[in-house]
Amino acid sequence: MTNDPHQPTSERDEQLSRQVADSLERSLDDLDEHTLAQLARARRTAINHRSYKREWMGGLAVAASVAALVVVPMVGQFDQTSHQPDDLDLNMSYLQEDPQMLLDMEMLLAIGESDIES
Amino acid sequence: MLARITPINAATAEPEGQPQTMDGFLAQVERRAYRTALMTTRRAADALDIVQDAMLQLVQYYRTRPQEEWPLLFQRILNNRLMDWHRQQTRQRKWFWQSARADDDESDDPVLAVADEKEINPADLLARARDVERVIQVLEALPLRQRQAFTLRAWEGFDVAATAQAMECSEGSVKTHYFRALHSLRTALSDDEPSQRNNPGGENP
Repeated sequence: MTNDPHQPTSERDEQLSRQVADSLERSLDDLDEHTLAQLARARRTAINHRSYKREWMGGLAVAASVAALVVVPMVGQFDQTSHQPDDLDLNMSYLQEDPQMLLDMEMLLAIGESDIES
Repeated sequence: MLARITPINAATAEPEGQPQTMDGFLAQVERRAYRTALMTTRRAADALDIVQDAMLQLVQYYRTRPQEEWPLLFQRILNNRLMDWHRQQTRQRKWFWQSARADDDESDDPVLAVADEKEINPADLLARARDVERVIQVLEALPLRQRQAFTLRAWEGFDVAATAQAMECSEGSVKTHYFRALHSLRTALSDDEPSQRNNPGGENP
């Protein structure tokens, strides 16, 4: 065995590693039925966790679709009725009085009165 | 980018070219994962919890990844879980004022730099390495990072780069851990002392 961990391991070390790994692999055969059943249950739990999530996501997608079907027509109706206030706003702005115009008219009236007096 | 690992257990692997299901993959690796976890925790319930957590996380977050990446991802999750468990145990031991052995393995141990003084017949060494119970005892006594490096390299068949990704450390650290694990294994299996056989690495149970 070399003293440098960065050197390739020797053939003897490789043999030892393979033998130990082989022993570990054989140790799996010694696992009892109860442990194997628990492992299988753990695996099913993990896999079913994905299924639950998928179902939940599917339900959420259906709910979102239904909500969209209900809400979109209502929004369309709201848009159609919401155009009328725009027209009223236009008329209102048209009828608004300009302060400058009022001042001009007042001045013209004053000029007219002074002409009459003279 | 994760390395793509060929499944080790070719006998139970899916036929070439056929997509493997997540269930099939987990069924293929669950026993080795349990043995790996049990060597660290030495408690069946804890080992099962850790394996189930690793399975859950793989399914939850990585099932859409290419199946060639699953072995490495699973080992990385499993090793992270084992590290978390180990840190938790160390904290508990410190809390109760018990001696907590530092397992970072990064310190240079001059003893490990010395070559084996005891020469043992290689055939005897291999014969001892065939003893399953003894091998597990020796591996259980190794520090965590050494055990991880050895099991990933020698048992799971990962190369140095993939082992480094699974252990989330540098390739140099992997080589050092693996080297020390081999040294400890050789020393422990060479020794016939029962006390050393039971606890060659000196790790507290």
